[in-house]
Amino acid sequence: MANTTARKDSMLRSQADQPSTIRRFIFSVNWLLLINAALLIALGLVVVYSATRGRPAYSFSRQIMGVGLGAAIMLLLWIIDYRKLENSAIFALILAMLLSLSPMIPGIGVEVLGGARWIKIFGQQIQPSEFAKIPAIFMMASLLSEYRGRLTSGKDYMKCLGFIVLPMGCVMLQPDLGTALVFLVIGFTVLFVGGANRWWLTVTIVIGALLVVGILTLDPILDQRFGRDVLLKDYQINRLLVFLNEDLDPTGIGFNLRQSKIAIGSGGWSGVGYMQGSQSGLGFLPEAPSDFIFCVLAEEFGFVGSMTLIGLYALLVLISLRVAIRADSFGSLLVAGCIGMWVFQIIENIGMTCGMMPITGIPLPFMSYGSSCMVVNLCAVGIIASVSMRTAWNAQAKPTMTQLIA
Amino acid sequence: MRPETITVIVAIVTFVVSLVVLAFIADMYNRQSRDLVVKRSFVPVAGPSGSANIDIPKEEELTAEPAQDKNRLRFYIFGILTGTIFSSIVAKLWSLQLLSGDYYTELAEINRTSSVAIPAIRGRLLDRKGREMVGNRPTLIVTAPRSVADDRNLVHRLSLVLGIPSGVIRQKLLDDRLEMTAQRVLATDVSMRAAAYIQSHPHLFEDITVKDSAARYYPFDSRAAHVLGYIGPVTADELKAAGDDSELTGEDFIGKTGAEYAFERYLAGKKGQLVYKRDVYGAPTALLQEIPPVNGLDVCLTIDLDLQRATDKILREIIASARENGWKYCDAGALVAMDIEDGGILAMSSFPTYNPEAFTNGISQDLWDQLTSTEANNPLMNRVTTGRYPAASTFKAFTSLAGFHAGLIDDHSTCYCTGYWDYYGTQWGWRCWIYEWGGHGLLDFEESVNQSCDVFFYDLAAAFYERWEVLEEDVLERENELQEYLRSWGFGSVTGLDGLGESAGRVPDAAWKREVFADTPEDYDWWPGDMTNMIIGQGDLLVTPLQICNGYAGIARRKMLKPHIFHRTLDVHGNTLESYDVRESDQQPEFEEKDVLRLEEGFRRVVARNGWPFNEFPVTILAKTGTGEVAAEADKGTCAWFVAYAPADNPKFCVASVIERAGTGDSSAMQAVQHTLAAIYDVDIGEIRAGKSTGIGER
Repeated sequence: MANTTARKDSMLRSQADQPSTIRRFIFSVNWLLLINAALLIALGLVVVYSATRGRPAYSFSRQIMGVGLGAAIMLLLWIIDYRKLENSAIFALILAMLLSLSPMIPGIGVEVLGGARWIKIFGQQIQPSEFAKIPAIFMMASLLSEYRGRLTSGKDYMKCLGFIVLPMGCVMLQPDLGTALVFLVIGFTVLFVGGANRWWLTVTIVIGALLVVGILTLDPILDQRFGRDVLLKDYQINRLLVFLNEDLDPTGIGFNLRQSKIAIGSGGWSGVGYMQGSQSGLGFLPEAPSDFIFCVLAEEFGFVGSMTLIGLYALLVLISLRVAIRADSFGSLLVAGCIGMWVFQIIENIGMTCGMMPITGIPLPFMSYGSSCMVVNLCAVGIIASVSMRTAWNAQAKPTMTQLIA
Repeated sequence: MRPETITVIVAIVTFVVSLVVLAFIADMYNRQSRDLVVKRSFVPVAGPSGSANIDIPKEEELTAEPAQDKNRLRFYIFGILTGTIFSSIVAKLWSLQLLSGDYYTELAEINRTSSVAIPAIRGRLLDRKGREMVGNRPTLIVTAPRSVADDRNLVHRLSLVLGIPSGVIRQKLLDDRLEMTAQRVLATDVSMRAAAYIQSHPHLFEDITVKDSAARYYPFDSRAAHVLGYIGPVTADELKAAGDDSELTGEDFIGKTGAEYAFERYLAGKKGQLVYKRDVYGAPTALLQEIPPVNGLDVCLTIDLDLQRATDKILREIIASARENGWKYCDAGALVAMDIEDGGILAMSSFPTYNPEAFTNGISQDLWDQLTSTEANNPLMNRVTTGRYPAASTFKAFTSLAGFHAGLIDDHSTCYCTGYWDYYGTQWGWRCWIYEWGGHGLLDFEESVNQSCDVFFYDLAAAFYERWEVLEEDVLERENELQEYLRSWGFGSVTGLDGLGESAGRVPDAAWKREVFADTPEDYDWWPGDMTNMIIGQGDLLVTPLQICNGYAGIARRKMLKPHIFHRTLDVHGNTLESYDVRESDQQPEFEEKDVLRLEEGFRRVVARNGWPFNEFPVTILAKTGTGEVAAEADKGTCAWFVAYAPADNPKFCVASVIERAGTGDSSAMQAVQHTLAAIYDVDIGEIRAGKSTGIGER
């Protein structure tokens, strides 16, 4: 295995004493990643437990069930050799689109507040567009790994854009703008690290920005012309207005932002104490266990708590980046997709609670209540763990399954 | 140091730290690859080509061109970007939690305080002498939120304890007229036993509240329902209309009709408030502030309780009597008595009626449906103020004054009535009411009023129509000469009875006709027939009993006043706070005294001709009959009118009555007015008996 970037772990580098198979396996596991994820999940459960008190619509045991299910699927993705899925772009695209469109299938789709985002299977309500993120990551990584880090042809670039836009469009049909943005960010992260021509990227971003400005300008005109919401819904415009002017209508459309800032701010240095947060306890945070879980953490554990969380996130990103840099082409793109997904969700979710981002319904990875997103985040951990382990194996003779069991 | 400065510094420091960390990682990576290269130079490994010996790449090559197909630089850029945004989040959190922590803690403290409204006791409604018409009595009520309807077992338990069928409880819970979040009153006047049982078994009756409340209380038998009106829970629409500043909530009761509605501002009072601090579970921990409620004021109405009870009884009995005497469709009527001197309403009765007590803690859907069904014939409607009737011959008083005013009737005006009038040709012939019995013969003005001869007024109508025809072409400002004059007597607009719901009635004119019959050209024009109809108070003309009473009171006092029902408000100690004032109408009619005296002579003859029991009274009474024809009910009977005022020399009381589908004016309606006047002057005129006409059918 002559691969210049594939490296062995320092413990394994010693050729003199051949470690046992089990030891090689143990040393090839990225324990740092797993411990980090476990800490995040533990912190999440602690905060969710506090946030779900007195809210019969949320059940803490369901969240634990989500963690268990997620861990099982994580192990599955870990064991599967991701490299066998290197040419799965089309398959992944179809899967992602099917998942995104499934809430519109009558019978299993559940419509809540004008959005068809959930499906009901075996009495359990799940959000399939969350699950579509994983095939979307595979799809982009598989597409980009073909170009070996040199995506210079305009035709190929357009093809990649098409692959981003298709599943994203399906999510927007639900309509779920927030999740669609996650797809966009996953796509562009992989495009960026996958070596897309920088000028092409710049042009796309400029056109995208112009499009957003155009839509925002046209929307009120079209709404007035047709007398109904044409491009954007009114609540979306309202959220943007609140984002631009925080003091706008603090009892109406600006209520959520104001209350979430009060929750974060009142945390102070060390917080008001576990289970003592009045902002979440008295119901001032409308979606405390899910979208505004960060506020509960910040209120009850203060600056220390929020720094701990951000520190854990930063560590997670660093560890994953390290895995990505070391891995082979496909693996590194897969990991990049996962990181892109996390980073965007973290920034958007925490950002919206403190007024740096407009409000959207994007969950905070590992923290927010919801088994669908917990499973998806653990899938991403599984993928990274798999990439990390196989990178280590690349540098070493791969232990066979029989060796492992023996 | 200013918070912004610190924020910026923290942001820069965090950014630099994250850069250093990233640089460190990058360096670590580079060193490792270098190690690897160095190591490989010593330990050659077989390459994929199988060659045992490969070139050792130079270090520069390694940095410039990674052997793997990746863009390491881009990973670094991505990492640095992420680090930067994370740093800015950290800076923002620093600013929120550490620099503004106290500010937000204060806001969170404000969120922890909560307030409970203390209801104010609603003011009472009293009569002009201060006797209670509506009071309050304490009652125990059971309330529950709408969600309880989903719990079948709980509804069943409530049904057993309260003794109300489950279906009724569910219906009350799911009442759509109320705001979604409002508590629903399930039962009133709950027994102490049931209340104690519910309160001592909270686990069986989750979300169910037993509380003290006040119910409206009607101390006397006759409820005067239409004067007093009823109260009801605030509806979602009313809450919206009240605006954000209003202290109303979905659980309050407000006046919906009658005096309860019109004097809401006095009766409601102002709620008090208990402000307390809550723990995280919402339980109160400390009382911060207590603002006592200001109870509503008692409102005295101009109603005389004795007279009101009398009119309620008279109207009820007259209608029953009329039905016995063959007017089988007679089922409704109105009776109103007014103080001529100041325009105060002394009594106001409408039939059919209802019991306002049923509304006091929210009316049941069944009873509401029953009250609003067509069979019930609108018991909730106050026919005095909102009943719209053809004025019939009672209107001749006003049209004849219009004739005098326009100079179309003078001292020598007479008519010869053959019972038939064919001024516009026989195909457009009009009958006097006496047609079937012959004609009135030669009549002067006074006798025309007495006999209520239609022909005299048809002549007047023709004269008005001819003036109108000419005017239409040249002088447009006098186009509606007759109508404008009638409007100056208060017709076609609300009289302004202190905000009680009123109908404006209708005085039709050419413009109105053009608008209404825009699609039917044959009815589009203003015809002579419209004029003749209007002049005898028929056709498209509609008035309310209140307008007629107010108009006759205006004739009697020679001036138009706005009628009122408000007398005074009292504070808790019984001191008068605010009294009514006599308000003149905005528009005063023009007339000459001698013409009114001639009209009154006609009224005097009506009374004189009828003889008993008018001659029993110690005062002279002036009166006019009327018999309205409602085209849609031609076969069921005409609308009987009677209006009278007394004493003739110094008018004090005006009484008007209309009885639906009860024949001619001198039968039922006249008896109603006679008995009302008898109650006023305390004269015994025997039993209430209606339906038999005294003559051939006085119109």
